[in-house]
Amino acid sequence: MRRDTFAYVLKQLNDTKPFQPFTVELVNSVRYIARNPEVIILDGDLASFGELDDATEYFDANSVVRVVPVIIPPGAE
Amino acid sequence: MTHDEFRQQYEAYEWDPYSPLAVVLTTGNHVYIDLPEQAALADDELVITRRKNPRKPEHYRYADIAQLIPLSDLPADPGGVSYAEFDALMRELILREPFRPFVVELRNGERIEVTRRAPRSGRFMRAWSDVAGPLRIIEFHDIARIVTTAEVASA
Repeated sequence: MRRDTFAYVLKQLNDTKPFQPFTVELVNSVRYIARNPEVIILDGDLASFGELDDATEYFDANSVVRVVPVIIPPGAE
Repeated sequence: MTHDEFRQQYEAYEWDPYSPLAVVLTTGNHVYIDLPEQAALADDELVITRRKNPRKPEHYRYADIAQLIPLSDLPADPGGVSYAEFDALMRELILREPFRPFVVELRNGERIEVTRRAPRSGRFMRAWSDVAGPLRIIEFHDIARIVTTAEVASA
């Protein structure tokens, strides 16, 4: 997925009322679960993800494979 | 609280919409459960294991627990902001277009100007201290006041 597509999808999901959690999956199979709308922030091509335990992860916005409007736990198919 | 009372309340919680849980202890102190996978309900105690400190789980006897409530229902500490206020303001300030700087005043008197968007998750917000500086992690509990651009401009 290109950065612009990801940005568009992200905005659509963040604007959904009421907000529904979603999962972002990267090309390396890493998954991030967004439980708040402001948990993933885009700054150019760099995306930052705030973990709920206060850690912060970064990823290339062009490395997103899919965004799914449900919670997919890590390790699940 | 007994094991059964705690389990019943805990298992009834749906995490939707997302809000961390506050475990209010009989001492009046409180601890937080940010995610369901952090909590394990042993026979006589609640065990909270945090990812940043996996080898040091926290143990709380059910007898020492007074209440289990969504953090959004917990009132603010004196001189602080409640999670409900923090949650609503952060959502508005971080996602608004275009982004406008705002100021976070901490309970220790420190004042942090947030000049760039950074992710916020649950009870933690993040702020770049400056363009090249490190990312600061700030818990809502440490915040005395959040000042929006309009308030900064009129001050």
